Amino acid sequence: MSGRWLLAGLLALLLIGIGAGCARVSGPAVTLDRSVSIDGKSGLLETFRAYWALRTKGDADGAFRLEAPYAQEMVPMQRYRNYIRLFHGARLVNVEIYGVDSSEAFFSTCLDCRAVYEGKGGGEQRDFRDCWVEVDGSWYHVLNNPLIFPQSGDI
Amino acid sequence: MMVRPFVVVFLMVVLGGVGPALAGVVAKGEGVIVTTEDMAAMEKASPPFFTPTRKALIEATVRTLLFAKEAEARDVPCEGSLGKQGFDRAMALSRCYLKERLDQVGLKQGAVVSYYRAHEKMFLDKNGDPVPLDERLREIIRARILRAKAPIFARSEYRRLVNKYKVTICPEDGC
Repeated sequence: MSGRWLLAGLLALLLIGIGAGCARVSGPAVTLDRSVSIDGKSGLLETFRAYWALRTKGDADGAFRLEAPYAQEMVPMQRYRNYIRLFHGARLVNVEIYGVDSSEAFFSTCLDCRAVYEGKGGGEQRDFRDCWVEVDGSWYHVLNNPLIFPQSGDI
Repeated sequence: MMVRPFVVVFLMVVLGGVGPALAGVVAKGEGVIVTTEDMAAMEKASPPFFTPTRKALIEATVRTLLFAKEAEARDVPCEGSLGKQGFDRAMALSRCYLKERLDQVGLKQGAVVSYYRAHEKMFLDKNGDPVPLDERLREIIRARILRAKAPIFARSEYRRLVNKYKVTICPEDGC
């Protein structure tokens, strides 16, 4: 009898493991340039990875939860979904972080990144600056597109 | 000859259910009737040089009347509505309702702080030092976020009330 329970327990653990594996979002590979260190920014790299994985997957609702809380209040969800869809066409395969610019006073960090997209006409690179703010121990992405989200800008 | 009361009621129900009684109705729901007269009042109150589509105008009118209805149901204090009648009163109540609900819902935790931290250049003084996030600045940022949130919240609240009162918008030839 106890053997059956043990077997059932092992099966349950296996199923949970498979479920957790499936729940993980696969995303672009994130690499850090040798000159770059983001030590002391606990959780930033993990959140960065998760965010870009969600963006790559086209998961607007998931990515929206990682946008800074003020943006979650000021940006209409439908506009955000359209924005994510806009960038979902090309597949982001790799992001290399080659620069870090932090502000201790504002608990913010901007990462200079080089993205590699996989498209029909071969790979394409694009450099961009991705900024993050820390609030209550968690990192949030800063939406920085005044053309698409003018409402999240000036006071 | 005396007409029996039930005949009168029957005629009222049958005739009341067709054409003329609902002429001028642009939307209806449970305890809600929106007329072309309301729509005209809404259009008059719209900003100049702004020509909304029929659908947008009806939705704005329905929203105003639904918010006003809720304001009354919840006894929302509204000094702006005092002494006003008809659609003007509904507009004042609607504004009070939205303000009250926004205050109740508030902002997500971290909204003000994250705005401040994400807009560093905006909050540096002339020497390049950070302007401290004091109560006054918090209030300014809070008001800025609420200003952007208001139309988003109003849309979701409108959808909620349309469902609550089962409001349907009539086709152009009437309900």
